[in-house]
Amino acid sequence: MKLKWKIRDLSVFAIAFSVLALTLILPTPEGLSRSGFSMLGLLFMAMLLWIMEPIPLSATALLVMVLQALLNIRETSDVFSSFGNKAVFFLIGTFIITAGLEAHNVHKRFALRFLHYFGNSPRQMTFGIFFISMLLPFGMPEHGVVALLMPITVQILVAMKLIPGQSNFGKVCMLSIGYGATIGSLATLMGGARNPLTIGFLKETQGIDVSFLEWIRISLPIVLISGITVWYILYKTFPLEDVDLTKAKEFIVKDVRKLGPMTGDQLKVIGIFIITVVGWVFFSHIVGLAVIALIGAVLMFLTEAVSWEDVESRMHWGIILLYGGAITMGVSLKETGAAAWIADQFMNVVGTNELLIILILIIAAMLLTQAMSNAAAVATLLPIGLGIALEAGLPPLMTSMLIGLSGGLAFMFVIATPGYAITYSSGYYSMRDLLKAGVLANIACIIIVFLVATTYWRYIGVW
Amino acid sequence: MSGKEKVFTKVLIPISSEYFPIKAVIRAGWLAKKLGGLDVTLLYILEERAFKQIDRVSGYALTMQQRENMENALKDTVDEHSKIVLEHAEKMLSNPNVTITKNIVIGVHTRVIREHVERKGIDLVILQLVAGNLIKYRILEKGKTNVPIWMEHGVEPIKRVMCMCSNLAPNKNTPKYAHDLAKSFDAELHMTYVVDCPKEEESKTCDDGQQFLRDIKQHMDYPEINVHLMTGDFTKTSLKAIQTFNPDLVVVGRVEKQIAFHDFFDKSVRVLVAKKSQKSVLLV
Repeated sequence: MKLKWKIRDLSVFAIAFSVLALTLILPTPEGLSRSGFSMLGLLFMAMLLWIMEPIPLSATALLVMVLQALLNIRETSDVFSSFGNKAVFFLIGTFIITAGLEAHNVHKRFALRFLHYFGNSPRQMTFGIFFISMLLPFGMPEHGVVALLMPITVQILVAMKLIPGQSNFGKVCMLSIGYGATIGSLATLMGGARNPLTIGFLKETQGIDVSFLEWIRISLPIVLISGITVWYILYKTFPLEDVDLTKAKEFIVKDVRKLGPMTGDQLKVIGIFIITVVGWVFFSHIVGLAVIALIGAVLMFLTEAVSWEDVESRMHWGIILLYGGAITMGVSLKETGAAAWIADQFMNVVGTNELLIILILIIAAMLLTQAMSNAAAVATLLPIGLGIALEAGLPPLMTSMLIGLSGGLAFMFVIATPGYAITYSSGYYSMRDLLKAGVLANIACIIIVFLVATTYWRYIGVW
Repeated sequence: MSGKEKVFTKVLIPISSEYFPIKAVIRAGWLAKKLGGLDVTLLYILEERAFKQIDRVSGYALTMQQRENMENALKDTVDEHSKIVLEHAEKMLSNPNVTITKNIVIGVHTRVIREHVERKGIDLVILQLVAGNLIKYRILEKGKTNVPIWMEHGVEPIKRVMCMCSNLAPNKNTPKYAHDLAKSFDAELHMTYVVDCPKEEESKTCDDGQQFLRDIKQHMDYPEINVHLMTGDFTKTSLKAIQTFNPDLVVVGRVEKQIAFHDFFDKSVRVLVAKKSQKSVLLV
């Protein structure tokens, strides 16, 4: 068994590196520089490794950076300077703040209190789980939300003695966590690493700043419409059986009581969180998002709301490394002209119809993100999408937001996002269930993103 | 194997954490009634692959603390969770002819089944194949187990049993199982012999097949045996026979055939027949 895995992994490596080697040996295609051609090879290699995962995603991200330097695609200092992007520090700051929320169970308190009001009928309960899963990523990373809500929900389902795989109520509850968190993660810059990645890339390559509030203004209609639609799809795909919610309510009440009254530390972290969000809303155009996030992080330590130990075990180092590799790759694709070359080939085939280009970008981002990490999918598509935008005369902000938001909407496969892998492990739904609801959810979201982009975004001046 | 002896006594139903094999459980209950009692082991397998998948997919995204919290919370519920599943299966099986043993194991589907078969002296494994999950069903591969495997497809009563024999198979146990089961179920018995060989050898092999079927009719103690001799590729011909005679249970033995391209992926000819037939199949 072990040997088989090694053979599989070695085969993936062999294919990935062979393609990269070919781009170093073969003559360059017309209109593409040598470094651009190498960058295409590197892009293919990274995509294959991110999809097949013979090594962790973050390790692939490091390899991407190292190879850019080794193959002399860009100066080593340039490659690593992209890692020092402001958005990386924004991520670090938000991770420290959310570590404070997690360390003092503020997120759990909020989730349980919220669920407490949704226990009157099975439909209301599933809606409550969906809604809280969608709401929490407004203020913390989506995977953390799933890691919090999944055990709580499993405990509720077990208390109700619902049979895994048989109960539609169980299926809808578990899928609601994954789907809710996925959709909610689009709303603010804190929900997923791909959001700061998008604005970081826009700033790095186009010099365009997107504020905290502006992101919400652009994304919120998509989040709200998709949220309601996808919950309805779940509700219709798996008709709920009549279940007795008494045990569920008892469990929630017991857990709320266990948390006790609000502590001083909890009040401190809530206060700092609110101050930070207010800062992002009103002052980010003056000092920038990253500075405010880091001020919030420092405040956490100054007020002794968190210790370094609390933060250390709650830092998403993997995401930070993945982000770093992804953004350096994106910048290099642009700098070497590889992104523009792909965009050119794309335009030759598709033509210049703006609506068609928008639709293709949405579908491409949603398909790619089913097979690889959201952030990696966005990082791969962003430079190409921006190249296409510039050629087709579409605004870079609109194209980036299209890719950044669509790249988060994966609903079909367990491997698409950690949220599904986590909830799948509960045994309450099968891969087939996920696919059944996911296909419909993805089709609905393609339509929603397309309609919002072509109407509302025009109205608010994004397009 | 005489008609009075029970064909099966100790049955294993693997219940994976990936899905609940409802048809396999119903079939076990039906078999217990027809065979006059069964010892059934309900084995709940918490699939190791699923846990590995979480690690692989979510490893980079979760913090150490989040993983620890999640694992602790799940550890507390996993026993309760498994018990709910097993109790449900037990309730479905509850009849005076069944003695139930329950087990919960963490591991890989095939490995856990093999270990249980050896340790508990199991003489039948009942599976329900479901696509779209992490189980690879390697237990069906050649040499993984010598115990018959019943792959349940429908849950209707078995009124017609068909035995697939061939010049590619030893044909020793297969007719016996088919006969004894048909007798226990009071079902119609069909014996089909498939001649799968090069054209130049076909005439002689057909004669052998006919002789085999005559022997079966002569020596087998059964009111009426319907015999069929067919020629062609084993897989295709078997599927055609199954479609024509519409049995409720197909008994297939070991088939020694050169691996062709399509068989390569399904590991063996008989498993291919089982998967494509859309019928309950007993692999012996």
